[in-house]
Amino acid sequence: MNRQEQEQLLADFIQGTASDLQVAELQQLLKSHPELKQSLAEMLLIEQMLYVKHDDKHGELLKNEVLHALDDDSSGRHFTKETIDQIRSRQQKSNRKATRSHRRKRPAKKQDPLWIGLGVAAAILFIIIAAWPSPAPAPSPKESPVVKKEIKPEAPKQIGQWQQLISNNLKHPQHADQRSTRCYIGDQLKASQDTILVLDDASEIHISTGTHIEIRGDTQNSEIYLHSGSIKAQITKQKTGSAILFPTSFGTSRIVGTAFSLNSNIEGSRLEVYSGRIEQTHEERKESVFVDAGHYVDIVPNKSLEVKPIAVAVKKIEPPPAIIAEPEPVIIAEAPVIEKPFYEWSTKNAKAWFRGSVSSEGINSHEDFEGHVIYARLPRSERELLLANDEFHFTLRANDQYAIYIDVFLADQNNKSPSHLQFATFTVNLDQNNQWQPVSFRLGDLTFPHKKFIEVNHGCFAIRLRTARSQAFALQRALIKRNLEDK
Amino acid sequence: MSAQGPGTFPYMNDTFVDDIKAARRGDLDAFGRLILAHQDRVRAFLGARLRDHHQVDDLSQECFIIAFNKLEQYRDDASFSAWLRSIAHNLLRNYWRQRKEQYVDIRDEILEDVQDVDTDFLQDHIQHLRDCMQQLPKRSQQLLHARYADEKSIADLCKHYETKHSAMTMNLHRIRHQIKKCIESKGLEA
Repeated sequence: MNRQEQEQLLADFIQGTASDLQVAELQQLLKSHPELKQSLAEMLLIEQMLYVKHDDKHGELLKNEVLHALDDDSSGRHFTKETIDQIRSRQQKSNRKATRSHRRKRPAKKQDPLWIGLGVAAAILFIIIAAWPSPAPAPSPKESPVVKKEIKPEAPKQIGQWQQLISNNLKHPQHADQRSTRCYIGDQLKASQDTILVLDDASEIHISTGTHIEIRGDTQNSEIYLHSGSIKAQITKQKTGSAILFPTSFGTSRIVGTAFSLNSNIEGSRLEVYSGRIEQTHEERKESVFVDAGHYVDIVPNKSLEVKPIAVAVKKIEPPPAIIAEPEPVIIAEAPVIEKPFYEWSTKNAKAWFRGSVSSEGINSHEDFEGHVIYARLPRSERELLLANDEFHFTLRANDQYAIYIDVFLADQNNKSPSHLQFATFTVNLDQNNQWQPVSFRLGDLTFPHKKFIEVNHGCFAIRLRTARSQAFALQRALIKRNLEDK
Repeated sequence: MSAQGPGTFPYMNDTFVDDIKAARRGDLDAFGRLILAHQDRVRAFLGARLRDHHQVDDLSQECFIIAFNKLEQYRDDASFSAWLRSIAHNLLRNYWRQRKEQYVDIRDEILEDVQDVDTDFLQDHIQHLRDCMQQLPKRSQQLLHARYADEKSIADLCKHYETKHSAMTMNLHRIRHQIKKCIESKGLEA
């Protein structure tokens, strides 16, 4: 490879337009020409500087945009604020923790009657002094000794209390920072797809498509205002005296730890309680009721609150899947009949197997994809992955909506240095019922950006499946080794 | 202070020293100014080594948070940018280590491979970027603007400039190379 070709390779890689083959070539090149690493690192840096300087700066002249804009850089300002708020939040947590720790560490003294007497006398003296009218304002109480640094008043908006797991692509949230997965008090989200909001205390709020919510509150109380739409939530038990409020325009649900669903439209709201107890108020009538598990209440104008049992059919609706205990393992009574040889492995809930060919355009000549599974990992979600013939079979739980990404890798015989080969995405929409839904698809039905698909002159390939529900379910990977010797 | 570099950089040395002192006392407004002055370098450093922009933002933020908490450990005679980079570098290492447990992409491998390459000199003089860009021919400036400000794709640029894909990527590559050379020469002069 001559110098110009090397440069071209670097240029394509930096621009992100290098093909997988080129990337593999570059990797080899860097091994044999380590001096190129320097050039690559520097060019990547320049590339990034050019992007950073132009971040969120559309339509303005380039030459006026570099370096001087730090003070009035809107993105920079937001970034700064976000960071500072994060620090403030952590400081407060740390201080609270330290204070608690301080209290805990106080040595338990043996009570002596003399000390008790002195203590009572001191307390009485303190009360008298405190109650004594004073012309000047009393000096502020001394800071706790554990607080070393000056703590400024709380910012009106606080971050870090909320985290948003992007279960899908929220294209147009009225969100302070679309790049971030954090949520801020004051944000409004109009979910273009189903979304999960995860609070710091692990409470989960499942927001249905089309739902409009607003995150409100202050440092003490949190509110999720439901403008319209529907949510289901599992709220972690709150501290004594604390609650998360779910107001609608018709009333407010006060949650201290339970599972429930809340729907709201222009006519009214409905609260359904699955576990625990929720206090529901009626905004207009200024009345409130407690709604126990298995009951619901409608909040509509000019009607008093009336708690009713949830109908049997409704009762069966389970809370969102991620917030309840794992269901019983799925038993696939009638597994597809697959002729041997096939290769199988077991997961927690089901068996998975691979056999036969991968059917896809352009690889019909490679139908001898009988291989054996050398690796299967379902690290956290334990979802079933069945590879059979030319289809992938999943079993997913209802009420979930998944975008599933499929990455295909090539690797050498020893399964080292897998190179990313293909990528495909599709979305599975499941029915809203309580059954686990088997899903299958053909690789050939997917649209891959590159036509070449799988080169079979490599030792093995890997198929990685990941759902976009959250990073917790990020990886489902199976490596399927092609036995070249059998070919 | 050496961290800031003389002359062209708008964040002046006295302010920097004051802000460092104030930030050590817990003044977050002062630290905010430090972030504003250094975030682009940190983000560029991480951005050159990561493909995920969200991750760049997250790690950049984490970097400044750590910096604030460990500000006592910062030596006044050292470069603040370099100190931040060392924090970012450690964060990056942790990130790669965790990521490797999940899966490996060859592109990531390459980026990880170059993470230890020393680009400090270039980064310490990156404030010359603007001057160097102004020295470029008009056409090159327009091209950079289209690519990085308007975020035109390579395909769009090819269509607009009626050129081939490989020629366009090479063209951009050469421009970046020119900028790099220019920054280096200005750095040496300084």
